[in-house]
Amino acid sequence: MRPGGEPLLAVRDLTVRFRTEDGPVLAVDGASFEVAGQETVALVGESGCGKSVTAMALTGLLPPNATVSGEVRFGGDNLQQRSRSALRAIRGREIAYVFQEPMTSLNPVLTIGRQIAEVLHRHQRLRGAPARRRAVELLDLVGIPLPARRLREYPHQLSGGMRQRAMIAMALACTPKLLVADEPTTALDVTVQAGILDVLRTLSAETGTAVLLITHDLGVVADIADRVVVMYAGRVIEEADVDDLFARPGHPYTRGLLDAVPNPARRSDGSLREIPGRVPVLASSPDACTFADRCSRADSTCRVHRPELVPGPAGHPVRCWHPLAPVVAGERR
Amino acid sequence: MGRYLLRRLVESAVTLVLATMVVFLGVRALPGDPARTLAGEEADPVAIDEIRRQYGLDQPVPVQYYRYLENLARGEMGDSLRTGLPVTETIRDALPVTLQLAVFSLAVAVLIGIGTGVVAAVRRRGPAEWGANTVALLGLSIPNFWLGLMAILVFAIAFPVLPASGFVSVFENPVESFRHLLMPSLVLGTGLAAVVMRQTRSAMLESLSADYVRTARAKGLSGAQVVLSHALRNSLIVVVTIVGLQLGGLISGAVVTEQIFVLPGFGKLTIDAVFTRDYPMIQGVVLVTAAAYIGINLLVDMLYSVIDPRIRVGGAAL
Amino acid sequence: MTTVVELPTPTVVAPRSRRRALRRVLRNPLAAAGLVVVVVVLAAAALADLLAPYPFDLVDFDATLQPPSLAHWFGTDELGRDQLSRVLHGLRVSMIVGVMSVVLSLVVGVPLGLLAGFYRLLDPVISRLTDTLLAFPFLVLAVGLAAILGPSLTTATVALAVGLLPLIIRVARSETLRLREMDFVAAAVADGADDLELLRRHILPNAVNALLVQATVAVPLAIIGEAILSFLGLGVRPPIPSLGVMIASAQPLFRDGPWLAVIPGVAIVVLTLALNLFGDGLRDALDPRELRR
Repeated sequence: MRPGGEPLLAVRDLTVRFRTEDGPVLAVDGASFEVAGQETVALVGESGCGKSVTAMALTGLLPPNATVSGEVRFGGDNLQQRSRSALRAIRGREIAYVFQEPMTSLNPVLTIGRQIAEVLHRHQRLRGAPARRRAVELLDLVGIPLPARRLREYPHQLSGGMRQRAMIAMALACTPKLLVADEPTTALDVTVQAGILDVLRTLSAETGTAVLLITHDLGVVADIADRVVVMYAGRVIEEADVDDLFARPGHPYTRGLLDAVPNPARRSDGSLREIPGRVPVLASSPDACTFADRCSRADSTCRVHRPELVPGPAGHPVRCWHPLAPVVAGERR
Repeated sequence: MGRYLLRRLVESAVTLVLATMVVFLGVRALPGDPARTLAGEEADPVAIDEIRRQYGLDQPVPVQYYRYLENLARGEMGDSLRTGLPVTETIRDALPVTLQLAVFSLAVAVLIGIGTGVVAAVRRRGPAEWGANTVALLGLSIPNFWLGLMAILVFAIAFPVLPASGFVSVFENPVESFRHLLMPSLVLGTGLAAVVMRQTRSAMLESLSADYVRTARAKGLSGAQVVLSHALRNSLIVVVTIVGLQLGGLISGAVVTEQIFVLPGFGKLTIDAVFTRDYPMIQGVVLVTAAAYIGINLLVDMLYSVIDPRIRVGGAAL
Repeated sequence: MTTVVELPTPTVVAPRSRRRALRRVLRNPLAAAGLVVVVVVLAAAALADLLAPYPFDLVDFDATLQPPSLAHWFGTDELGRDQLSRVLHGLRVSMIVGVMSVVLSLVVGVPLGLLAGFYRLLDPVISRLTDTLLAFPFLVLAVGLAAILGPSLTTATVALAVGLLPLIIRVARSETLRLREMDFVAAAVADGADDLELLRRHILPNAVNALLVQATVAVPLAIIGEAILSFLGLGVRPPIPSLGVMIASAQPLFRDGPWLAVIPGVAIVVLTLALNLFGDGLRDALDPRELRR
C-alpha cells in the first residue's frame, strides 16, 4: 500500500453469491484489495476463481441472481450504497471496461463510430461533428490506421487486434480514472497481444488512468503490472508488488502458478507444469483453506481452520498456514 | 451481397416456374372434362370438340403449358366462368381490400408481438412475462375464425359498436375504413402476434445475454438504451425472418377472415371460385397468391440483408 | 401454419435421456396439466359412443334451440340435436384428422428430409420442391385439393398433411445436415456402415427429438386447420359433426342460440391449448438451451 491519502479504489470484504438451479454458489469470498491512482494492478487466478465476478461487482454489472455484500470505495464513495442510476453515471465515465472477446463484445450491427459516439453522448453530451472528431482522435490514439474510415465500419470488418483497440478507444473515451481490463489479450493472437498491451501501458501512463487488469497470464502480468493480487476459489490469497511476487511467492498456489509459466530457462524440458486438481465450487465459506486439497504442504490445520491474509515471511500478505520461505536467488530449482 | 441476392433471385424464379406448373397441372387434374364444363351441361359433342380446339385442349400437354405461359406473360388469365369478366381484372379489384387488411393486421401483429415479446424477455420471471406468455399461448390456440365470430357476437350483436361486415376503402373514408377493418385486422393480427411475440422473446433472451449487451451496460447506458438500441436491434434480424415466413399464414388467415367479415377481397374470391368450380378463377387466384408469397419472401431476404451489416457489407469472414 | 420451431442444440440424446426428459415434462405443472387434458379428451373422443348421452344425429323437434340445461349440458341446435354428444364426436374427428395428417406428413416428409440432408445432389431438388409447396399458403393448397378431390375427411387430412410437409422436411433436413458432421457418424462410416445404416441407425434416432417437438406443434395446427376447412365447407361434411361444421351452421343462429357457436369453439381452444402447453413443456425438456435460461 502506498502511503498518503485514500486509494482510488478500495475493496473491503467483497462477497458475491449466485443463486443457481443447483443451489447457491459462493463466487467471491470476502475479497479485499486496493488500487491507487495511476497504478496498474493485476488480479490473477485460474478461470472460475472469481476475478471477473469481482470486476463486474465493482459497478453492479452482475446479473440479478447475484447478491453482493461488502464495501467498494471509489474516490471516497461507497459504490455499494449508490443508486443504480448513479452507478450508470460512473460506468463508462469514471470506471470503464474492456472485455476479453472483442468480436462478441462489440455490437455486430452497429458501426464502430456509433458505438464510440454512444459513450460520448451518454457522459459528455457530445454529438454530431464534435463527437465524430473526438472518436477519430480516440481511434488514432489507440493506433488504428485510417480512423475516419474505420468509424463507418462494422466490427466484422476489423481484425481481432483492431477490434480490441476499438474497445479500448471506447473505454478511454471519457478519460476514466479506472480502466478494468478483463482478459484483454486472451482471445488474440500472440503477435497481436504485445501491441494491445503496449497501447494499454502507454495510454494509462499518458492519461493517468489506473488499470485493474484481470488475467490468468503471468506473462502479461510481468509485462505491465505494478502490483499483483492473486485469487483462488473466491479468496484473495496473496498480494505483492510484481517483482516481489515473482521473486518471493509466499503461497504454494502462487508458486504453482509461477511454475506453470512455460519458461525454458527454468525448466529444461520446457513442458508446462500444471497444478493438480481443479478450482473447487463452493456453496458457502468453509472453515478451511480452499487450496488444501491441491496442496502438498497441507496438514490437519489447513483442513479445519481458515487462514487469514497476513504478512508472510517475505513481508507481503499471504493467506496460508504454511507460507513458503523466501528463496535466495540461485537456490530455486 | 450481390452473389447472395442473385442466388435468391434465381431460386425465386425457379420456384415461380414450378408454381405455374403445379397450378397448370393441378387444374388439369380436376375431375371432369374442362371442355365439357366450358361448353355447358347441354352441349352436343360437336360443340365440345369445337371448344376443345378453340382452347387448344386437343394439343399435347407441353404445348398447352407453353400457351398458358405465353398468355400469362401478357397478363391474360382467361375469363371467369361465373361472371364472364376477365380473371385479371377481377383479381385486380379484389387485391386492395386484402392488402389493406393485411397491412392493418401486420401492424397489429408487429406492434403487439414485438412489444410483448420485449417485455416478456426483459421482465423475466415476473407477472409481465407470465401474462405475455399466456396471451401468446391463447393466441396460438384460438382459431381465428372462431375469434372473429366471438368478436362479432360481442361487438356487433351484444354491444353494437362496430360493423360486423363490409369494406370501406381507406382512401375514401379513413374513419369508416378503420371501423370496418378494426375487428378483422385484430382477429387476423393476434394469431400472428402470438408467433411474433414468442420469436421476439427468445431472440431477445439470446441477445440480452450477449457480450455486447454487457459492454453496453458497462458503458453506462440506461436500461432502455441497452434494450432498444443494442438487444432489440440484433433481435430484429431474427424477427423479420419469422414475420416473413408468417406472411403465408397471413394470406391463409385472410381467406377465412374475409369470409367471416364479408370483405370483398382476394380470399373471398378464392373461396367463391372453389364453390362455383370457376376453374380459370381458381387457377388465377392460386397463381397470384403463390407469386405474391414468393415475392414477399424475396423481399424479406433483401430486408434481412439490409438490417444485418454482416450480410450487407462483406469483409472479414466471421 | 408456418410456425418455425427452434431446434434443440446439438446434443446426442439417447433414449434413456428421452425418458428423463419425459419426467422433466411431467414436473412442469402446466405441461403436465396439458397432458392430462389431452389424455382425457382422447379418452372422451375414443369413447364418444358410450359417453354421449344421445346419438349425435338424433333429431328432436320438441327440444330445438334449447340453451344449456341439465338434460342437455351444452344445449341443443335448431333440429333439437344434443350438442354435448355432437361436441364429443366432433372432438373425435378433430383428433383423428389432427393426428393422421401429422403422421402422414411425417411418413412422407422425414424420408425426404433425410435424403435432402444426406445427399448433396438431391438437396437442391427437394428444397426447391419444399419452397414451391410453401409458396402456396396451406389454405390455398387445401382449397385446391378440395376442388380436385371433393370435400371430405380424407381431403382435409391430405390437405393438412401436404400443408405441414414443408415444416417436417425442413426439420428433418437440417437435423440430418447437423448430425452428418458429427463424430459418431464419422466413426460409423469408419466402421463400414453403409448409407442406409447411417440414416436408420445413427441419424434418424438422433433427429427424433427435433421431429417430436415439431410434431407436437403440428398437431394443434392441424386441428385448427381441420376446423377452418370444415367451417368453410372444404373439409368434413355434415352429418359428421366436426367442430368446424358445428360453428359454421351456428352462424345464422347467432342471435337465437349463441351457445351453438361458443361451445364448439371453446372445445377446440381447450384441446389446442392443452396440446400447446404439453408441446412447450416437451420442447423445454428436450432443449437444454431453454433450460439454461
